[in-house]
Amino acid sequence: MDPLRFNLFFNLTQLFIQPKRWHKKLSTELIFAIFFLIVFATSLTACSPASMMSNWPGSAVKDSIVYVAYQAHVYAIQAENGTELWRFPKETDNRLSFYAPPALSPDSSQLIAGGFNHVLYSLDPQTGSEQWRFEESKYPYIAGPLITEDSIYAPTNDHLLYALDRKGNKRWEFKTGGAIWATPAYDPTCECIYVACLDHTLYALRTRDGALLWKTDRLEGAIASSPVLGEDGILYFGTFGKLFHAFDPRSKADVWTYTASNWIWGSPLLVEDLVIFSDLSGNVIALDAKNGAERWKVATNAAITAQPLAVQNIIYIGNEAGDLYAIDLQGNLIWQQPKKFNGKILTTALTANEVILIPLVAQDNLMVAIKNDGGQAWAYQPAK
Amino acid sequence: MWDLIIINPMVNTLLYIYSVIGNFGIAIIIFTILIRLITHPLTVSQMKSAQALQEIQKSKEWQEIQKKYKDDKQKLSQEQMRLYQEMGINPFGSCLPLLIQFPIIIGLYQAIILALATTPYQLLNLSKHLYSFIDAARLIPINNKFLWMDLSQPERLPVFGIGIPVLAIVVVITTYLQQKLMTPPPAQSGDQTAQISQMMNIYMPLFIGYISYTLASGLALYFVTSNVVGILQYAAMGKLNWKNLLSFRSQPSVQKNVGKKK
Repeated sequence: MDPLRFNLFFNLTQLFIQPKRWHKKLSTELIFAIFFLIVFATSLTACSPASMMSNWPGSAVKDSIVYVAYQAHVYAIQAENGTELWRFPKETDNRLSFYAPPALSPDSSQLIAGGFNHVLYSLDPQTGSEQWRFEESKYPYIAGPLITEDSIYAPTNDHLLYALDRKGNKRWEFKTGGAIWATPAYDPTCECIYVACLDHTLYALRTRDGALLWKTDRLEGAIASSPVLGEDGILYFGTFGKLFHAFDPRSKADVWTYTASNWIWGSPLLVEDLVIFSDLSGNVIALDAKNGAERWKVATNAAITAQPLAVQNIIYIGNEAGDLYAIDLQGNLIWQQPKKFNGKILTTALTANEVILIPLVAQDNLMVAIKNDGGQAWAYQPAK
Repeated sequence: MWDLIIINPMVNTLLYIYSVIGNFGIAIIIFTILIRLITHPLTVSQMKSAQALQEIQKSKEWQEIQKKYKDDKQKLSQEQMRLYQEMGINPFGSCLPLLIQFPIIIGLYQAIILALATTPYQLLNLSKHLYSFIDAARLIPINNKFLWMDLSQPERLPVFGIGIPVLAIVVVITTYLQQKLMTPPPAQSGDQTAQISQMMNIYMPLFIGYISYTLASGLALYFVTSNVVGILQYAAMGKLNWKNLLSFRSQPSVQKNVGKKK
């Protein structure tokens, strides 16, 4: 306990232990003053950054194991029944929390998770044991890393993107003009990555050495989610400026744009000839990927920050109110689950073992698995 | 209700100032001055009440009842209240303005942290507090750098590899100065009020300094600005107690009789 708090605590304790002696020294005014200081301290610390460090879970899935990073741990959960396989770290460390979704390497030998404590961890996906850590960043990791055959690209909140080899050695770094909250997108045709940044700019960097190939002019708003690269080489992304872009990196110009009614936060989904995304007004919007013409729009009643998930031509998406929607590719609502899970759905759903895995921001469950008909298969609640 | 009355107006005013100025540190300073100006009548009221209390405690009648009822606390407080009523003084008059400022300070801190929104969850939360006239898409992300500080983090100035909490030290000094300069001389040396006053002169700067040391530096910037503006406000009213500045013992003022309420 720090000296100031100790002193206040000591004074108050004495009041109760030796009330008569202290009554002579402490007037009502002084007690009021001490009480005021304590209430003031409590009020401020209750709304301090530490207590406001609420986040939402990020997840990845491979081979029937789902990995979820949330608050103090990274969890590995069996997708078929919700059994916890391991957690990292084993014991809760109050200095460590996870905001960034974890990412699996293409060969499934590494699970990379960035901590809010500025440390990037490489874990064994089978056991959760630490392989190495990268500690150069001075700021937290919010975005998930991108992992290719030979490299890890880890964006940070301090405007830097670190390129590491698979053993955690730094190859290069690139400084943008703002924090990066989105996982970069890899384009093998140009051997480059596209980095969406909160500074209203999209960057193209050469993977070999981090050289800037090009960047967009300052766009109308911040880009908080990953751009998606279509088979036609077009990049699709939305901004807080309510504009959705189909951007051709070859001509470095928009093919078309679409104006939504609110900030566009989540990444889009490309399925068949549609590009599907959402906005903070709770709209799920499907556009013709070729020309941006609106095919359909489904309104939900709360903000959507997640990327839609498509399983067998059904779109699954949840919103901040905790409602889950299943929509077909024609925009027909198949079913909805209003507030069934007693929590918020702010992050992208996953699929494995023929169930839909929904990460939750809730008091109890961290993840629920539902069947195609909306029925619950299992729920996972981390043991304390 | 708290959001509607306190947080939303504060966040949007802060962001509006930022949209005009383009610097969040200066926006906090301007916003703090604005808040101090709005609460100026409360400050004046607090000062007048404190002064009136001070005057009454110097009076002969007050001293007499202290002696007369020193062994009967209940009777003493009845007599004190009678005296307050006769003089037309509200004994809580100096506390009330302070209590009104309390939620403003808490709200201001929440507004600063909310506006800086350093994590996605905070930014999503901020998006719900914005008025339509704020062009948030253009403003976000807020540039939280001011001088050497990241306003969303506790401040440290690196000197030879050691982080010195300069702003927290300035907060302690300005809070101490404010306390000393604005505290009127006690009625009697060594009386209870003087002891409390002396104790608060030490505890309060340390306490506010500790808060500045541990929480976001945007709040420390608020404290420094608020302290300086507070001193200037008292100076403008000619109420600064310069004698108290270098005095580490309570200075008794000359006792005088205070007339009855006219």
